[in-house]
Amino acid sequence: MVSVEFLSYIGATAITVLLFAILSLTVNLQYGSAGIFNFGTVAFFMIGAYTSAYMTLAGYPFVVGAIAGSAIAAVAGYLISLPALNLRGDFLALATFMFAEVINIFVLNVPALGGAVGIAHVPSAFPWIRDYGTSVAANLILGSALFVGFYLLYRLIMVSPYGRVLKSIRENEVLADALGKNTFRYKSQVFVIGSIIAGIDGAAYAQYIGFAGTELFTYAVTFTVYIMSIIGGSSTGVGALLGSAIYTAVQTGLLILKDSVALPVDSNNLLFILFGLFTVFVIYYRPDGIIREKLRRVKI
Amino acid sequence: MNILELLPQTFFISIVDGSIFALATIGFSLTYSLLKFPNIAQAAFITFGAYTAYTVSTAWNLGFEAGVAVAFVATGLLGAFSYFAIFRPLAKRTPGFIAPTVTSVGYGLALTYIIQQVWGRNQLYFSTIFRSFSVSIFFVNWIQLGTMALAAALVLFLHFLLSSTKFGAAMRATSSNIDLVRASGIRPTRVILFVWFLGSALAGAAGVLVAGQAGVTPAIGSNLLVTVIAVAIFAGIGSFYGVVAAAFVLSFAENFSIPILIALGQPVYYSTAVAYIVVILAMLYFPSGISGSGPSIFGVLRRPRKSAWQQK
Amino acid sequence: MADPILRVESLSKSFGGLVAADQITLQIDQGSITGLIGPNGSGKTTLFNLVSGALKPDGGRVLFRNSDITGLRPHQVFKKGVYRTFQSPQIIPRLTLIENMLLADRAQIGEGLFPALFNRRRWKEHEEKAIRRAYEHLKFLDIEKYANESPSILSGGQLKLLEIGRALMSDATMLLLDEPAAGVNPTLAAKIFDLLEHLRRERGVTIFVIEHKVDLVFERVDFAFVLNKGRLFFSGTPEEVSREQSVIDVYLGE
Repeated sequence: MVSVEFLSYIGATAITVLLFAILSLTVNLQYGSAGIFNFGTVAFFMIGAYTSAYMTLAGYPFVVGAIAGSAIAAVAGYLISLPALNLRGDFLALATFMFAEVINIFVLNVPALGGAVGIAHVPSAFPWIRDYGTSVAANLILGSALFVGFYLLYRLIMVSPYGRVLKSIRENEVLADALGKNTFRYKSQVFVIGSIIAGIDGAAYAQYIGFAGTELFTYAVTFTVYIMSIIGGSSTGVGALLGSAIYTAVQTGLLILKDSVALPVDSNNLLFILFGLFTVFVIYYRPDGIIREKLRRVKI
Repeated sequence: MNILELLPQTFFISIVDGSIFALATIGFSLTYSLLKFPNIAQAAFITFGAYTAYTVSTAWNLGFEAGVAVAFVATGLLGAFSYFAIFRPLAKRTPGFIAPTVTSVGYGLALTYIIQQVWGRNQLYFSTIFRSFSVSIFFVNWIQLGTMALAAALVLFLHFLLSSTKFGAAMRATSSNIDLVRASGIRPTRVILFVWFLGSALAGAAGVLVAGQAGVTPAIGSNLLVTVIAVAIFAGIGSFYGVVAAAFVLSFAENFSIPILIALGQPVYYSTAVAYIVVILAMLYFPSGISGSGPSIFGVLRRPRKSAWQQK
Repeated sequence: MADPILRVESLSKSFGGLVAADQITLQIDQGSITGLIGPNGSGKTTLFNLVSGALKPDGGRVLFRNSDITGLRPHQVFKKGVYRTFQSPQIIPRLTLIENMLLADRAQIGEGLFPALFNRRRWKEHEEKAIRRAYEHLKFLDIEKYANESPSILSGGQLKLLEIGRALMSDATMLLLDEPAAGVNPTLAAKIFDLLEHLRRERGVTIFVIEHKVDLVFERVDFAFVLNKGRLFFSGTPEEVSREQSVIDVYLGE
């Protein structure tokens, strides 16, 4: 029958899918629903991770670390959103991209914050669990709970009139403004909400990996979650999960392939080559993703 | 240690780095202004140039100069191919800039790992040995002198192209008013194709020059990418002269911040951040860049004070 | 007599060297239907932009119901009860017609973040009523069969009706309509002005209309202002305007 190792492997994969699905959810909220091109997602993920890592190393429980992480991420998100949301779409993308880079380079170069070495031995959220299999199960529950919680929040926002306003801002900001919506305030709120979610996710990630280092939080992460969002569909919460699942499945599939099939090329390289091409094709052939946005029909 | 002693060398390094930044960024800025998206695959083009030059000059033993020349042409062709096979069809299918941007990420990733597959991950070195020597207060290396010379030559060539030739005028016109260009009989596709060729060729050259100093690794391009983006934003998208100026301003800012930080007793590792912070501040308060020719095709650059509605 | 609901005092706006609005001063009575006419480029839409907050004036004041709304942003002006349309009808394509209508509802608290999250019952109740009201308005305008479709399938004329539907939904006290009957056939144009007349009669709504076609305005408004090159250079009843030689000249010269 199936071994504990195998189940743990599946579990670990599922945890990764969930944690990245949460980030993808923030992309769906900000970009998919409100049309905000935030290319600095990894910055808030990182802030949450590092803050929580410090807090838990200082002896505080994980919950406190996660709250602190999300608070600092929220503040950072708010501060950067004030000037940045005044910029045109692609410039907003570049500004947030640069912001994330600055944060990464800053931490990389300041030894007191971890520097190039990073922060090792980040305490787990479940310090009483010693057994690996059980800790995977626990993290799986944590990841699922977080995803479901954030998914419900996302749904609640989107089915409400608030969500309707977000979509109107995405489609025709001038009209939304003329119809009484303070578009800047909406965008700023969504930006901060996304930062909070990414921050909490970062805290969960850091305790799961047990480590926080700048190499984990490069712009590649932001691009990865955007690709997940595009693949799954950027307008639904399920799309975020689906995108993350597909991305991780392809990645895992290629990893397994490398170990079982003898190939003339280095499978690690092949993984990325195929993945890059996969992205190109998906965007070309199905730019709206798998789950497309549908009109909300009401009963009269 | 006397800070003043560092300054002349810092000045020299700033010029060398600035030259490389300029070469790497011109193509990025031009393709951005033409196709309205940041081409992240530029990083892969830079890397490709370095490896091509390595193959020609060291593996085939044809000399460094031949390596540079072949890298220039080969990377240019790669760029032209990329436009033709990927970005142009995509632009016809999907509007907006997220699609081509994310596509360029995937494409760049694939290219970089193809390079890594072909050449391996280890650091390679050019067989040519570039000698260092002293010139009064400067300590220079032939590759650095070569970089400055090549960059100067290419920039002058571009200047001549843009200002004095009909094609150059077409290049300038296409980025601002593509319909006007069509109406005057020039095919925009040709112009754009050539810009991709030229911009990528310059990037390839930049890759060779970086590798000449630091060795050839698959990470060369991605290490330079963030700087490229920073320079392009600071310059104002689409402005060739802006890029040249911005490249040097940022290079000087980053390099001179080192002696300044030392003099102030601050840790030196803030220096990279200095350049990026300069750029972010510029973006927020000067979105059109130092050349003032920031993107205007979407109309409103800043909201909400300006109205998108024209008066009647 | 009725107090002027809208007072514009010396409103000015320039773009570089171009004077788009030159010390415009006018008043509009509550419950009136007033026309704003003038040749192309005379500043009609600019005036609407200045009043509705889409543009900030260089000088002058705008008073709506005796409160100073000069320089307020469009979303603030809307909340005060002023509804404006744009020359090309604006829609939210990926929302249904009903949702497009619901956006104009000034009283939906669910549009705020905290009420949306924590006061679900109240906004849901309001939403259900608002949907019924929106549907009634759509029925009144004869476009109810598209209620659950995207407005992108509507014709130009139907979109003009949608704009009136939104005006109804917003319960606004003053409408600034930029060419509400442009590009539609005469029957529909007449129907649109009938609707406006209905709004004025039944709800006391004040209507300020930009119209490029003078003949349309001639029969359907109480009073008209004529702009030329950013200046208000004549005003009067439709009869007076149609007989005024300088007005005719200004139009002939375009």
